[in-house]
Amino acid sequence: MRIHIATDHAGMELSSHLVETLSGLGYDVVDHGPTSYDADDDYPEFCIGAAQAVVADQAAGVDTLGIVLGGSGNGEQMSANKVAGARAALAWNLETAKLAREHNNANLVAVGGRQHTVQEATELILAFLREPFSDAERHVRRIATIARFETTGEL
Amino acid sequence: MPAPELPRVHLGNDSASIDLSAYLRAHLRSRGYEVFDHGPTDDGTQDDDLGYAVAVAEAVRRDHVATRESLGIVVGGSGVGEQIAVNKVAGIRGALVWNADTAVLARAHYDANIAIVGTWQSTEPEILDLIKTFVAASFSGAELYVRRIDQINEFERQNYLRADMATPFRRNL
Repeated sequence: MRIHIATDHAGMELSSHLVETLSGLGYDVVDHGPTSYDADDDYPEFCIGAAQAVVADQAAGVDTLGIVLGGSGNGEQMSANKVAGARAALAWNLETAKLAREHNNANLVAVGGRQHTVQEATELILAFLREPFSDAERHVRRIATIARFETTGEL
Repeated sequence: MPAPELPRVHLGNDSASIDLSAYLRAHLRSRGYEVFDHGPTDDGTQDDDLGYAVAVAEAVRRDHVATRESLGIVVGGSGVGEQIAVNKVAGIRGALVWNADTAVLARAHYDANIAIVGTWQSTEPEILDLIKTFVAASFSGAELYVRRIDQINEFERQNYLRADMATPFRRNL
């Protein structure tokens, strides 16, 4: 599976750890930056870039998910969700990480690097990546509603 | 000096959280907030289309366009579906809040205009505390946070609802 990962300065330590760990587990990791620490860098462009890559890959049939990291994770999920086709979920414990995949078929996970230890964050990201979508009819319908809403503005 | 005007609060919840929502509404009204209730109004069919979440988002957006300060609160199960859906509305910054830190940062750093809380992962007293913290917090107004929010707004203006999302986003387009 391909993983698109992006962060800002607040999640750089976690991001480096994840790139190494996930690559070691056989994931094809694409790093959307930043490449060096800059306390003044801005999360939107990195996160939007990763979200666009996930949506484009999925549209092309590539098995892929995304990870966006920051201080609390909320600015990152907001930015990613502005991309049509992106479903970015803030995960903050194992349950929310799994539910985001199982119920919401989230294609990106957002995690706050200042809210968790590196080990905790890695565990919940792995739980996200490994959890399949349930494909339950009710959840398929809700997701289709979001997709319709973001393209037509109608529910 | 007159007290600063409180923001309006738009409240929506899934059908499992009607009692909690009523409690939050009563609490906020007792503190002087003007609270608008966006459902659900029926037996749960709105849950399927996240209608209550989108209704809150659109109400907050309408207020924003009219330069009327308002905040939204959406109560869901895990909160994830609601958190995704509200952010699909232009001008909405919806934050999933789950501890005091994320409730404060949502306002202080991101100027979030909607808080989403989940009843499956937080107890009712915890949720009340999260909401109190969120509505009492304020945006720092610091230049770096304003700049980042402007970048999101710029992306929305240029790309939102476009079918072709292939154009890479870079700041200062």
